[in-house]
Amino acid sequence: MRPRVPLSQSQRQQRQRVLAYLFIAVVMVVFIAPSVWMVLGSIQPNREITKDTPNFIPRNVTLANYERIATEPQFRTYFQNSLITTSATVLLSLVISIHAGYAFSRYRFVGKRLLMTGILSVQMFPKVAILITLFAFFARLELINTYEGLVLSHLSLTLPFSVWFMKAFIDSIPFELEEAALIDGAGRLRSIWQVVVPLCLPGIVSVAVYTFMLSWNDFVFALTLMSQDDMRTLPVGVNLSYIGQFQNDWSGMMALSTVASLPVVIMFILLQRFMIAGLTAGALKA
Amino acid sequence: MISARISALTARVRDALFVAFLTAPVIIALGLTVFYPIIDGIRTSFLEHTIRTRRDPFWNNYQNYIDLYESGDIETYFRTTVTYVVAVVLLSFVISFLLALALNNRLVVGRNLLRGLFLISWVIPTVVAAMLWVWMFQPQIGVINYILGEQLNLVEDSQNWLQHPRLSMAAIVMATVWREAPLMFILFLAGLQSIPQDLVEAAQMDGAGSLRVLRHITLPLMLPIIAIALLLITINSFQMFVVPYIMTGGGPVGRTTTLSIAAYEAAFTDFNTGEGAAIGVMWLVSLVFITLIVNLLISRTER
Repeated sequence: MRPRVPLSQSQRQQRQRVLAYLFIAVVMVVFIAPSVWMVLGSIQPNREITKDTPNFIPRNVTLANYERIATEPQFRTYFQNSLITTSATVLLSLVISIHAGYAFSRYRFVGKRLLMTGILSVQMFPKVAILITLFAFFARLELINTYEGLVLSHLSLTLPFSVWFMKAFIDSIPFELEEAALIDGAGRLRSIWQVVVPLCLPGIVSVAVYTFMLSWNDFVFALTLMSQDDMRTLPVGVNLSYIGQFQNDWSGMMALSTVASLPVVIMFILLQRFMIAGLTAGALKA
Repeated sequence: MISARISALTARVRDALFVAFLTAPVIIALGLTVFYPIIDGIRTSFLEHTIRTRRDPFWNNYQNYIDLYESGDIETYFRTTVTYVVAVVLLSFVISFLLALALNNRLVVGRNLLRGLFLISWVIPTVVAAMLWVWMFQPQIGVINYILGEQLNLVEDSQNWLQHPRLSMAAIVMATVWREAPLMFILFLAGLQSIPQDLVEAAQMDGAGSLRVLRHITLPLMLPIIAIALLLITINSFQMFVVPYIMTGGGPVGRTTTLSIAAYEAAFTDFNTGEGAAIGVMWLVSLVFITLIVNLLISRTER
């Protein structure tokens, strides 16, 4: 063996750089490969991807799996239900959190700290445990199998983050900018929507993307609160077709999985900048 | 004088009404969907409330808790959950911290692109992630057995991961880390980027090696972020339902039955709402406890 000689500065940097690249390469492959594998599985016939030796390079590329999904009306229903629930959740979360965030940022009132801590603490409550009694409660209110019920339950996923985040964002907007509008006789509510909201746009985009992801991702609320087949959302549909028409049909499963991922992945790629800035700022402040 | 006071008073009343108007929706929404169900759940956990009793739920002298305790079930659920959570948190922490350190290096080209790619597994729905791993773990046709078994000879041929007494846990941990680690990674990267670069350069000028910079500058400055990230991912994995539900269904023979699976099955498969609620209450209490301890630790390190 070579005797250990102290490495010079540049040698040390060189070695560090090689190690860093090696580590990045390994982790990246492990983390990116499964998503690529999913897409590759979705564009091949099922018999090609269920052989004992996997094809790392597809030989038979086809879009037949996607055609099947597009023509079956049931999948369109799932997709539609997901889209309706998610858009309603995003819109409601935005309005509610802009209003509440404004109140928390601009006013001092009794019980403010308690209320804010209460809202934040929602994140740590176990959802499945809540769901047990929520289900019975919603059944009494006849909210099972309704969009209203599912959207309401999704608000419990989105509001803690969005209210805290909007509060922090409005904090960073100087009150002086509102004063001019208020002196001109605009009410507080008009000042929120005409002065504060336009200044908050980057924050609003972050909240919208993040709440979209949370609502689109939900499985357990949709599984229990929507039992009728024509009310099911896409994540539940993915799970059901695994026991249903895509049993042992992995290429069909992967095509459906890709379709279920596309809206969030596209949104993420387009708005990544806002998303990451918002998420880190939100976590740091909370 | 009096009129000035009256107008000040009306202004305050108006402000109070406006604040009430602004905050009412969030209070109502979370009250209905979170706080009322929790209180009702605590009540239900003391009731005999099953499909078998065929009468109105009635007080059963803590029987739900006694049953869970005496059968040893609750201990098993907690042990399974803690194993899962600790494995997920540790693995995610090590991977994402090292990756954040490596990518924070200015010498690495294309790190924004790499960061974006790494986050894709965190963006796709959890159900999709779980399903994808079920496919990759298939005994005969799965790619994992092909690589680890046939190519590297690390596992038996046609190993049935999801039905194996110990490997089933490893499988759900891997899938969860794959989906959750990127979240930790973004927080760490943001934290590293906020460390003043001149501090690091000054230390290097004084002859400090990378390990010493890491220990004496990076780690202390990152401590608050590390604490928050750990808390966040602990809470997330403590709550995780989708991955075990889809990949193993809690099996084989309860080896991956975490608290979320146990509570769900008690309430929605066995229709024993009282027992499900009792599991939920003990679960909630332990989460509140963990959060309090971590908050205490954070406030102490900040001082």
